[in-house]
Formats: sequence, C-alpha cells, structure tokens
Amino acid sequence: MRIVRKAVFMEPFLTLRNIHKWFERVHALNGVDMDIYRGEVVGLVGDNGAGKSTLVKILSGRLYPDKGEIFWEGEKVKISSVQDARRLGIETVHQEKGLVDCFSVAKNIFLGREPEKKFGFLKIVDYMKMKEESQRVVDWLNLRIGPDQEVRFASGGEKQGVVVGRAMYFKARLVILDEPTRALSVMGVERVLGFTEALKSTGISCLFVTHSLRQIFRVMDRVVILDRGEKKVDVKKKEFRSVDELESKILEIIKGVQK
Amino acid sequence: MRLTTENIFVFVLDQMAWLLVVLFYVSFAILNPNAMLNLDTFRFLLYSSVPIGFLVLAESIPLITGNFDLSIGQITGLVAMLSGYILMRNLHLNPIFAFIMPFAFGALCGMLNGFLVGTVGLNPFLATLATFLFFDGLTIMIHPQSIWGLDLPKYYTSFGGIDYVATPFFIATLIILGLGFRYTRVGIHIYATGGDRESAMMLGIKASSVIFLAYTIGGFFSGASALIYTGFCNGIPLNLADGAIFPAFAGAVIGGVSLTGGRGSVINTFGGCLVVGTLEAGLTMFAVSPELRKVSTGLLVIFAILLDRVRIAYRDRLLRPKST
Repeated sequence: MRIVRKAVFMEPFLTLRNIHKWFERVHALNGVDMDIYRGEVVGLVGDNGAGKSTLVKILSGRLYPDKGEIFWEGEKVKISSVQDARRLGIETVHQEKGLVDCFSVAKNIFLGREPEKKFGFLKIVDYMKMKEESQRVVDWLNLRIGPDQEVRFASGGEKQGVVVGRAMYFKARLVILDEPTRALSVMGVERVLGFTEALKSTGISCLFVTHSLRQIFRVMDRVVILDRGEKKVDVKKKEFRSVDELESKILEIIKGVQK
Repeated sequence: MRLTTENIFVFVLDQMAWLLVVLFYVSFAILNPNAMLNLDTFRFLLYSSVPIGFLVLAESIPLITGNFDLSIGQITGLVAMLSGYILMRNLHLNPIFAFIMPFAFGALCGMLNGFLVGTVGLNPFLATLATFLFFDGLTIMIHPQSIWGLDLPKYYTSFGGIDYVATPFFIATLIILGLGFRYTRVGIHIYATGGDRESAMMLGIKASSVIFLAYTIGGFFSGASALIYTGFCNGIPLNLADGAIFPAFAGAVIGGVSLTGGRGSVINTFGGCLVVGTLEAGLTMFAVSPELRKVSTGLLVIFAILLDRVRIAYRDRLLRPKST
C-alpha cells in the first residue's frame, strides 16, 4: 500500500456546529463545535460523563442532536441512523460491539454488505469473493487470524483490527475508535495504535476516543478535550514538543476557563 | 476449505445428530433385525417424522434469531381447523386455493408473533404464551369438534396422507431452506441477529424486521405441518398438535440449534427430530409402555444436551488458532 500523506490539510470535510443534546435535565453536550480534516487523527479526550460517547453516538447515527448542525463536505446533512453514517463513510470501532462472535472474520467484514453473484436467475452470496478479499485485509493489517476463523477466538486488539479492516475495505472517510484501548494489554494498545497509523496512511481520518492523552500522543495530530459537555481545548500537536508541555498547557486552559 | 484431519473432525462433530440416528437405528436393528432392517419401517419412520419435522423447523428459525415460539403447536391446530372447516363448508373450492390456505394462514399467525416480538419488542416467552392461548381458544371457537377425513376433499388429505408425497416434499423443503440460509443475505442476517443483535443492528441489519420474518417463516412451516398432519391423521382432531412443542424443541436442540441464537443448521434439526423418532419407534417395537417411552425421551434430551456441550468444547479446541 502506497503511503499517501497530505502534509497540508485543506478544508474540513466534517464540521459540527453548536451541537446540543439533553437527556432529561442533563445537558450532555453544550454547543460543541468541531472540524475534522482529511487524514488526520483527532484525539477526543475527557472524563466519564464529559460527553464523549454522546458525541460519538451523534456522529455514528445512534443519537440525534437536539440542536445544532452537521456539515459534510460543506453540505448540511442529517445523520439519523447508523446507515446514514455509513453511507457518508463514518465507521465506528467499538470494543464490545460491531462483530458477531460466532461468525468468521470474512463474514464479519462483509456483514450487512455481503457481495452477491448471479446463480441462474438467483442472487447468492459470493463466499469466494468474501474470503479472498478478507484475506487481503488480513494480510494488509498483519492480523494473526485467518478469514475462516471465528472472531470469538481473537484477542481484543485483533477484533478491533477486523473492524478497522472493514472500514478500510469499504473506504470509510472517518473511523471513530470508541475507547478502543480500554481493557487492553500494552501489546494490544500498540496494535490498535498501529491500526490507526495504517488508517491515516491511506487518508482515512480517525477520531480516537480515550481517557488517556499520553496513550495516543504518538499517533494523534490534534486533541479535543470535552469537559461536562463543553469543548474546552482544541489544539494541534505540532505546537508542542512533548506530551508534558501539552498537558501543562491543557491544565492552564482548563483552569483559565474555570476562572 | 482445505481438507485437513481437523476439518474432517469438525465436520463429523457438526453431524452429531445424524450419528446418533445411525447409532440408535443400528442398535435397534441388532436387537430386532427383522423389524428394523425393513424398508417399510424405515419409510414409515421418515414419514412419521415429517409433521413433527416441519414443527422443528418452525421452532428452529425463531430460535436461531435468539427468540423462541411457544405457540407453534397451537398455530398448527388453528390452521388445520380453519382450513379444514373452510374446505368442509365449500367442498368444491379450487384445489390450488385449498393448498395455499394452510401456508397462508400459518404465515399470518407467524406474522402476529413476529409483530409482537420483533416490531413491538415484547419478550418472546410472554408474547407467544399469549398467542398460544389466543390460537388455542380460536381453534375451538371456529369448530368445537374434530373433523373427519371423509368430510374433506380427497386430494387435500392425500397430500399428507401418502408418504411418498409428504416425505419428498419435506426433504425438498429442508434442502431449499438449508441452502437459502447459507447462500442468501437474509439467511446470514438471521444468524447474525441471533449471534449478536446489537452488532448486527450497528451494521445496518434491521433486527426487528429479521425477527418478524423469522416468525413468519416459522408460521409458514407450522402451516405446512397442519397440512401434513391433516393427511397423516386423515382428519383434524381437536387436539391435533397439542404438546408437539416439546418434541419440536427437543429435535431443534439435539440437532445443535443454540438456545441463545446464532448457531445451528436447519438441516441437522431434522436429524435431531429423527433421533427422537427412532428412539420412539424402537421402543414401541419392543412394546415398551408409553410412560417409559416418555421417560426415555426425557433422558435422551438431557443426554443429547450434555453430549452437545462436550461436542462444542471439543470443536472449539479444534478451531482455536494455534499460534496465538
């Protein structure tokens, strides 16, 4: 795979403007703005209840914002279902969801979008194609499991590799990694970071949701920090030499805001 | 798939239900060669498993989606009675229409279950318990007595009444269904819904529609069972398929359908059904009392479930990747 890295990010392809979401009386998202550019890795960091998962659910079509606008390639869009999100090219990688454990890797990659071939006047599922194409995905990401193996035998990191492979195969524009490193070993985290770099190298943007800034510092381009439903920080990594410098800056910003 | 010893082992393990059929058949044949090694016995064994076989399918399909259906026997009873009653009143009905009736009524009953469980999202136990009572009562409201075979058109009762019509019909259904479940997208989605409903929904599969469809197909086969039962009994007794749910469940489970959904081959469920059938037939041949036959069927189900557990554990060990 040829490495296509855009040094200069152009217009954002995804823009969120003034997103609000209430759950009963709880103001889960309070006017969040966010841009995502092509091929960049954005870290979405925050405590539990900061609104990260609400934002992710809005982007993946599982929740609908109460107020606010979403622009895709400059055009206003409504993401009201998972299918809508997938049609745009937004794929979500989640640790517990997204894979059917008792299905093979090949079936999982193509689930919901199975290739079909003509068989007389009937259309039947093309298992050969599914297997060949998944073999390519598996080789590409260096997964340790084969296309015929059932997903339940894979480790947490490998499972996410399957989902990432699916996103790559179907040419997603944005992959949301929803707390992918939770409950993973050091090796597993390393694998997931590797997948992120692979996505980035093909021009796919990533929204990496995590608690830990340090964990993703190496791969990220930009970090967005949410706190109690509001965006507090949105800075580029380039502006900082080390994670320590970034952290002290973030603390400074948050304290400043609280004043 | 490469042909390694492991793959062959896994294949054999997956056919456990059929192995049990052979095992039982051979054991009975050794004990009583005259009766068992007889083509007529074999034919009758197959034939007598057909009405129950359709009910096993009716149960297995909702099971694969991770739900179940308590009302299949009652659907069969209702459909048989309703179709029989209409035919009894209109003897000169178009035969094509007569044959469509049980399938259509069955599918409609299945749709009601599918609507309650899939679309409305009721608990399958409660929903199908309610429809169980509903269908049961409706059957008696339509016609409170049994219908004799002589009151029905000859062509209608011969469909299920002649074994070389009923058995091939069932086997053809089984093959088409088996292939359909493997080679169509809908088939894969039915398994995916049972395997992991949330993930399937995330991938754009409409789980509620899949469940609705599964119950509808299930109802369709309950209807098929009604048509066969009518011929098999040469008439429509009031308690036509009462209690048929139990052997249907047993057949599905022995055939390897997982109660949590997502697993099981529809073809193997007939193997499961035949295991029960063979045991019953063999015990009948040795004049074992009905009570003892029930006890042994119960023991068989427990034995089969335990064996299935061992089978799955062993199968997992074979399938687990070695390198990681």
